[in-house]
Amino acid sequence: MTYERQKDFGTPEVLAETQVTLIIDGREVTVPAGTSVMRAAAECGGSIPKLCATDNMKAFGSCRLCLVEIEGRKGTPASCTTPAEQGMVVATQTPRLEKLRRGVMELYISDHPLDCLTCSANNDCELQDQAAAVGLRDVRYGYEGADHLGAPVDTSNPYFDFDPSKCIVCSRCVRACDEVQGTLALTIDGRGFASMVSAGQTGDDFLSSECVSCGACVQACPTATLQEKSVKEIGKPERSVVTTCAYCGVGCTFRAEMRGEQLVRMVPWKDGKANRGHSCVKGRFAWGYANHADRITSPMIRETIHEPWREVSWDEALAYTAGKLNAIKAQYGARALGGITSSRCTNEETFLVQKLVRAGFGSNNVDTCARVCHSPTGYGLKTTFGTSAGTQDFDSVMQADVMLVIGANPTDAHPVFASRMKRRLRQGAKLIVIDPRRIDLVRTPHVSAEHHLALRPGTNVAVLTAMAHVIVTEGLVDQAFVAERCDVDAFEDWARFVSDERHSPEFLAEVTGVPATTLREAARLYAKGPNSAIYYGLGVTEHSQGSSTVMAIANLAMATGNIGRPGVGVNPLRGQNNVQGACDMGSFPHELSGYRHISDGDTRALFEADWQVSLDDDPGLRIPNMLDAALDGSFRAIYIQGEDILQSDPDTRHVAAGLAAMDCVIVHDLFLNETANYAHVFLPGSTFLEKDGTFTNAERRIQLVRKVMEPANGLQDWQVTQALANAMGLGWTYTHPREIMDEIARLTPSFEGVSFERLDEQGSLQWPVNEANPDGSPVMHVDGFVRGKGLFVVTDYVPTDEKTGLRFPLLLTTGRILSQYNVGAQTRRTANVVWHEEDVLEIHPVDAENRGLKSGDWVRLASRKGETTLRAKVTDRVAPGVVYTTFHHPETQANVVTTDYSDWATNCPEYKVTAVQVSRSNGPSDWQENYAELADRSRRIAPAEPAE
Amino acid sequence: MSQAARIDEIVAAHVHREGPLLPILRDVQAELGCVSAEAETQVALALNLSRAEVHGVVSFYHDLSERPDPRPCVEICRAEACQARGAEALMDAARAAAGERVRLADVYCLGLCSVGPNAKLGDEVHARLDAARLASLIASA
Amino acid sequence: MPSWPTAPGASRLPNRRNSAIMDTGKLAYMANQIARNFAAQGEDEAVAATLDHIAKFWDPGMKAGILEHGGEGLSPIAARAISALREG
Repeated sequence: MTYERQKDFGTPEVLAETQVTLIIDGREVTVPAGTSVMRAAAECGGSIPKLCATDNMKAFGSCRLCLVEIEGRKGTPASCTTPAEQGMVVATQTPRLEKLRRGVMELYISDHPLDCLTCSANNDCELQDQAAAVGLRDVRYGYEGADHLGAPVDTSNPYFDFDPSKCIVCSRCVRACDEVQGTLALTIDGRGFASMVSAGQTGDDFLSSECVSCGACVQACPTATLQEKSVKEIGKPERSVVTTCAYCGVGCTFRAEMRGEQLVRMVPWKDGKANRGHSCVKGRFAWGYANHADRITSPMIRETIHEPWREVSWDEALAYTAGKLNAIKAQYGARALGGITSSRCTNEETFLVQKLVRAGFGSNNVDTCARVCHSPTGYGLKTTFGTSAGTQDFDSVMQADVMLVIGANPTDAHPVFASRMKRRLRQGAKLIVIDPRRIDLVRTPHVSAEHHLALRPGTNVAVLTAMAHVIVTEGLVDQAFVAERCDVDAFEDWARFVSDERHSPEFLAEVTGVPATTLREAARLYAKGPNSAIYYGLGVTEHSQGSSTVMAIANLAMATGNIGRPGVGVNPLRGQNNVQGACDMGSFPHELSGYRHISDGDTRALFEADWQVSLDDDPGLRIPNMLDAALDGSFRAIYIQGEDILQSDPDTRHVAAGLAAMDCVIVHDLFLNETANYAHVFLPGSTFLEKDGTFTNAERRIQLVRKVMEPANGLQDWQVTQALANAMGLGWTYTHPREIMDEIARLTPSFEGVSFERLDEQGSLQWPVNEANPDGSPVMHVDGFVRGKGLFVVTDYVPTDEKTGLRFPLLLTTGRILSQYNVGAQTRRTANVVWHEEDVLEIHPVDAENRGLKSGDWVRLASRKGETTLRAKVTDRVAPGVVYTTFHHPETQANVVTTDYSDWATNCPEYKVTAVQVSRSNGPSDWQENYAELADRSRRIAPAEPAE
Repeated sequence: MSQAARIDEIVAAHVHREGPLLPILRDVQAELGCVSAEAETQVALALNLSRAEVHGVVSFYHDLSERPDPRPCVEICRAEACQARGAEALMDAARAAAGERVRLADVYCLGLCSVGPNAKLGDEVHARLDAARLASLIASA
Repeated sequence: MPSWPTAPGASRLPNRRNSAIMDTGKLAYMANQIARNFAAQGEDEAVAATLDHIAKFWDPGMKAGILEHGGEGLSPIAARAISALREG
């Protein structure tokens, strides 16, 4: 396909009840009332010249190109700021207009470099287009006057340049940063002829400014002023493929713009239902890891983990692996083998891994990274509502009146969604934040939380129960909703429980650290709504009462009737691009796809008939239990696809010991990650650019991933799993992922209507997609809960066993940052390192002073599990007694310090509460040095044998 | 009292008004002689605006400056009516009289269009100026 | 080559097919934790819920392990649930 820019209607779409009909250049067109004349013209095939207008931002009216003549009106109004009206008669091409437009272009071009032929925007420049469209032939002002041609180019941002000499001060970039992203990092400095775009204050450049490198300004810029460096280097794209981002759970849709087989840039797709044309630094720019030098493209094996790796052919690697697995199975039984599916690989690939474990290895020992992040969501929402997923779509936030954000930091972890939240908040919605740390959302330009409940880590259930106490005892329950939609007996038990004095905000204030008045006001605000929505993240789930907290959240939503329509709901912000999908595909050891327990005979029969094999009906091992079983000698082989448990799972020493105790560790990944230090087989993986398949985002939205280039390692990940299965004799014959999705649809009721064909047609589908919901389900539990009646569950606050004391007086909690992603496997191998080269420890000034610490000092972070060293950053974003760090860099080994405490229901690790001590340090800990040495030795690859 | 503390006081005095930014910036300029980058940042934080936004406002208005200029300032009107009454012809002499000691600023309309050329020194406006009277006004600044 | 310590408290059992696995102290801890979180529902309900949870989510090796462990260190609710597991 040839390259075409995405269509731009000029001004945003307007949704309105009434329609108006007008005539533009003799053509009749009907549009919703409030639509601009410019957009109406675009809708009926016309096109009015424009430079400052673009359809994801409000009309600005500055360039004066889009003038039109309207019958009965004086002058030449701008069509972007003029709303269409019933019966209007508009002319967009008249001699008068043409003269005016040429005059405007003359002014623009009189102060613009004339280097089109060598400019990186040549042939992709709206200024060129408009100069041509208006028929510019000469510039009467000449070019000898004052100009801006000498302005220096700002190349500080690693991904794009800012060349002010080409700027026409249309302000699209400033407006994009304001309206679309909500960061307001740009402004126009000066006035009149001296106006210029400025990233911040005098002396700032893009890198030092408040810019978060989302790329919205680059996308908005009509000229080469803001331009991707990759376009300058590689050249203009010639074709594009729409695909889905592989970073976070927002699931932005992008156009991968290609030149030959080379990816030039990723541009957000305007029709993407999750992102609506916006992006963040990671999806937009940080895709270079696919070509990084660290990428392994050849299979490798070794007998023991102390030897260097040996590169071999696919056949040899697969035969070796199958041989080892079969031998272990014969000697130790089916339950000695297991697998871990990836939350970054496609639904089809994950389905095949769990099929390999269940149909091939012969047990249910399959688990996924959701174990360590949202497994409590799975348990908690299944129990209360009947479905293990969020209830809304992202668009729903625009109808929320109150947002309660608990244990989530959306501006860092789900930035594109956070921008939408900010948009709605700036329209007047209110915000409550429950977080031990003063996250950005609490106070960021133009947005501030009504209430910030800075609770003590580990007390989520106490806070939510206190809120419930307020709602029940102050008569704020939506009785009608409860009576009609919920199990009334369970509600009464629960209401009685929370009404007890010992659950009042006053009684619990000391335990939680939240003043009673603040908590009461927050509870009342949430209850009053009228539309209140809860958004939560890992600050809820990664606790010893993670599941209880999820259920407490569900209880609040049910009690106040905030379920079943847009603007409300319970929204877990799923972290990874396909963690929702991985869970849907039956990656948990106790469930088949669609969250059906393996003890359910009917479900098992369905699979057994399709797979022609009999299935184990006992639940399998979860990841932490696999490691325990490895230490006991009963679990001996594991196939890990796209996960780095050594870096991401807690209690690193325990993980290391478990892996070391196994006979066959197979790592299927892009890079030699930390887990690979303990592996015997390395199967190279493919990136999201190199495969076909689907991802499911936090909205339950299934979206296509389209192959853009051939896999550098030779096989798409699903082909690797199939090859391994066939090496073990399973005889799979899939030729394309669409066949795997067809199988999923056959076997999983909530996926019944899903197929690649339908996804191509519709763009995306939110499950359940079945007879009742043939086009998918944006909002769930509309008429009734999936389980029938909503179930209130009593959640008693049980303090964690992880206690501070004299030895470990501080509480460590962990989180994410915008520029780095999870274990950093991808983002550390891109230019994003310019923003976050190392993990740092945030510590409150009082605690820092007591220890004689200042920002930049090396500090020793120790818990009863282990210790590590990193640099300190003194800040009051954390409360006294609380410290905070991220886990993006393996050198930090942050998880050496975290404990083996976990959620009672799902074993989701309690990353968010670790008792620690912080003190000055001279340098890396012994563990870090030993580990670095091991890692270096383990990554040696033997040089290839010379051919005989 | 430190600059930062003084700025805090100025912010507190205006923060509850509708559109407090300009009154705050004008008071800062009046008291501290300029609105420095640090002042911009402090005001941005206090009003929950971005640094870029505040900078945009400061850089737009001639009456707000980033660096202090302690020199006396004479504002001379260069708008159309004063031009029609011969203001341009006075400029060379005015510059000579000002030298390095006095800052001359161009302004566009003091609202005295029928009696120009016009100029302003401090809070006083002076009309019907000729070269000599303008030069002595500048000398007296 | 640095030597990697095993997890503290791990008990190494000899290799057996489908053997009862795991540090049994840890299994008891997990059972107690489950029981404690159901306790507010009332003792009988908590026992039933704990039993149901273990039946649904623990693999056979873990179930065998807790049964081998006997009742040592188990809370009253957990102990009743494990007895029911033994019978059922």
